[in-house]
Order: sequence, then structure tokens, then C-alpha cells
Amino acid sequence: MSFIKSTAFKYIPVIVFAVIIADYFFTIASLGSMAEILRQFAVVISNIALGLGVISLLRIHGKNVQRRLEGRWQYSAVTIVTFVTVFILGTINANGDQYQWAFNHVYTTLQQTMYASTGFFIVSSAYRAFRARNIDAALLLIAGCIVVFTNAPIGEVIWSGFPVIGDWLLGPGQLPGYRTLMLIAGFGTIVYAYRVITGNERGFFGGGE
Amino acid sequence: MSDQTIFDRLDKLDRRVYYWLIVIVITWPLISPIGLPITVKPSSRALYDGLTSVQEGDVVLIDIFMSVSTWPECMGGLVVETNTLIDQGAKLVYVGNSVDVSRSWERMKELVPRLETLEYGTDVVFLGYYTGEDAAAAQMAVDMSSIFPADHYGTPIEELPLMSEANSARDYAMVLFTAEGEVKWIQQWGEPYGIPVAGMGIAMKGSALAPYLASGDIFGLAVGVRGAAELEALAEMPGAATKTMDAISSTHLLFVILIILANLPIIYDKIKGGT
Repeated sequence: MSFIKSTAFKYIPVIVFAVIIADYFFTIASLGSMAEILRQFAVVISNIALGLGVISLLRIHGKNVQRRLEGRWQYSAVTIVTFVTVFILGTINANGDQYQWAFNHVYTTLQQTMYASTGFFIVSSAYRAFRARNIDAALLLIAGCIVVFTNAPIGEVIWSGFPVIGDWLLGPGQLPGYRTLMLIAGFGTIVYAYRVITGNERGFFGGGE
Repeated sequence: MSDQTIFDRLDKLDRRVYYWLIVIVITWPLISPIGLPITVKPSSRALYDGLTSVQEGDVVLIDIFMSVSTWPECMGGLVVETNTLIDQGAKLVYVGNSVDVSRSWERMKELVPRLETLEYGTDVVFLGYYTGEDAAAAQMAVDMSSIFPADHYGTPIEELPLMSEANSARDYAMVLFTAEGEVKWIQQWGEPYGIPVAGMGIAMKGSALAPYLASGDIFGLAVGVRGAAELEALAEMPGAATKTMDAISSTHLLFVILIILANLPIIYDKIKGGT
């Protein structure tokens, strides 16, 4: 175990990183084949992650039910029953009427209701939280209102200047800041990659020093 | 008689009041449309121009990253994209990174009945759900069949004639993303292989996508319901997004009015000399 932790875990990411990065920049047939295999591994692993997610979901909600956690266990029970029902229906026949009915008339409706209900929260927050208590907040609010009017045709009807200013805010107004953030994130990724390649970054497998 | 001022009352306004207001301002324009004009933004026009530049027989990859919850924002645009590409004689390959992509595909078939008239496997293919984000996109660029050994319906990919001629990035004329997922296509298809990338984003992604549009990494972009309505206007196919725009206008107006009302007590306090 100590060999795996100290050596294998250290060099596996190094090799994977080196192969994938080299394949991106150079056209070498053997490297390409290795990179293909590694990418397929990544896809398989992400599929396994779905399974792990299911196990985690059942474990957490199973514990809630087992412990009769006040105010929660009933919801956890519903989650488990729903999961098991849909899982069985899907396993028997994913194109069957029952599974499709659950998907079309329960999942779709609930998803859309959840998303639509955010409209009420946004309006509520607009009224309760968007207060111009200082000059910074006032500037943010004014910019926000202009962008809101830029995206709605009524803005142009009220004043033709709204889309002009709004498009400036969405373009030159915000691009420098956003690009700076993206560049910083990009440099951070390069540094992170360097640390992985040199074996100094081990946090992702739970390693310490 | 209460000694509360109107500003005090405004400050403590019951949330049910504006909840009801939002119900009214959404439903009213839907029942009785106003038909405010929609100006087309250059980014949406660029997307539409890109779609109409596709040649007959070109293969286009469409990534449906929207879940059913984002249908109101993106489905209208996807319908226009699909109809326009069918008009151009393009061959269409659909994939999806959202677990409910099959539901979106079924809904799109209802909204674009012409999809059913195309020969499945030759003119259009639905490969279905995939995981793996960048790794999957990078692998699709070199060998689609390694990510999709079969399509959504279980037909082996070798039995789909379209997929034998469109098995790697270089076989595609364009990639279109829907709702999200733009970065992987830019990084794994756009940059290394020069495949044009464009698409639609949900409204709140607009500012995040703007840098990619400005840098030319994506050649066109339609954002939110407005973007979808702009595409519908360009294609002269008024649909759900166009109908929704009046409700968008009324709710956005209410939103700003509520912000102003909410700030009146603060302004009143400042005038009175409060902190």
C-alpha cells in the first residue's frame, strides 16, 4: 500500500499528463494511440462516477431513514423509493411506457417547475436584497437594470439608448475583467499541471505532504 | 390610524403581492400578445449566417447540453437551427451531455416534424448521452465510434452510413452547442482542428460566452429566449420564443420597477438625513 501511495500514485498522473499534453501539441502515432486509450479510460471512469454517485445517494438517504432524522427522513424515503422504482422500470425496458411516462410526466414537469419557480425568488430578491445602500451598490444596480432593459424589447421602446449602453456593458465594459479572470485561471491550470507533472501535486488522491 | 409612512409600508411589502404581480405580468402578455419589435443582435445574425453558409451534404454536430428545464430558453433556437440546417441539406449528428437528452430529442422531433422525413442513419443520427466532458470531446475528435459504439437506440455505429463518413472532427463542417459545454468544443475541436464552433447559451451565460465571441473562438451566439426569438425572426419561423418575448418584456419591467420601489425608502431616508 505504501508503494502505491508513495510511488505509483505519484507517477501515474505524471505519465498521463505528459502523454495527453504531448499528444495535443505533436502528431506522433504511438503517442496518439496511448492518448486515445487514456481518454477512453477517462470516459469509463466518469461513467463509473455515475455509479458511485448512486451508491453515495443511497448511502446518505439510507442513513437518514435508518436514523429517522427529523424533518428529513420522509424526503429521503421518497428519494429511495423513487430511485428504486425508476431504476427497475428502466432496467426492465428503458423504452417501455411506464419508464417513459415517469420521465415525461414526472421528471420533466418537476424539472420545469423547479426552474420556473426561480423567477419568483429572483423577483423576491430584487425587492428585498437589491438595495443601493452605498455608491458601489448603486452603480451595480444601475448597470444591472440597463442590462435587463437591453435584453427585453421593452427597454428599446422606453429609450433607444438602453441597448447601446447595455451592449457596451456586456462587451467592452465586462470583457477586460472576464478575460483577466480567464487568463488567471489558465495560468493557474498551467501551474497546477506543472506541479502534477513534477509529482508535487498529490491532493487529488487524498495525499498530504 | 397607523403612523407608518408609505415608504415604511413599501419596505415591509408582503412577498405575496409581488408573487401575484409576476403571475399577472407573465400570463397577460401570453393571453394578449403586444408584439413588441425584436432587434437582431450581430452575434445572433452571425450564428444564422453561419447556419445558412452550410453546404449540402456537410455534416454538423449538435451537442444538446440543455436539460428539460432549459427548454423555454434554448429549444426555440435549436428548432430554428435544425430547420435551417435541413433547408441547407446538411446531415445532422446529435449528441448530448445532459442525462435527459433523449427527452429533449423526442421533444425536438415533435417540434420539427421534418426530422422524421429524413432518412435515419443517412441524413440524421441521434447518438445519445455521453459523459467525460473534455476527454470525451477529444476522443470524439479522433474516433466517434470509441465513445459511441452504438446510437441511442442501440444500433451499432457501423450500421449507420452517416457515421462511417463522419467518424472524426475533420469530417464535420461545424459544431453547435446548446445551453452550455462550449469550452470543450472550442478547446478540443475548434482550436486543434479548426472546426467552426457556435451555439446558444442560457441568458445567464451571456457574459461568460462574450469573451469567446470577441476572440473569434465561436463565430456566432444566441443568448437566452431573446437569442432564440432573434433566430426565429431571422429564419422567419415565429415560434415559442417570439411568443414569450412580450412576457420577458413585462417581467423585466416589473423587475426594474420593484427595484426602484424597494430603493425609495432608502432614498427617502437619505433625504431626511438618515444614514
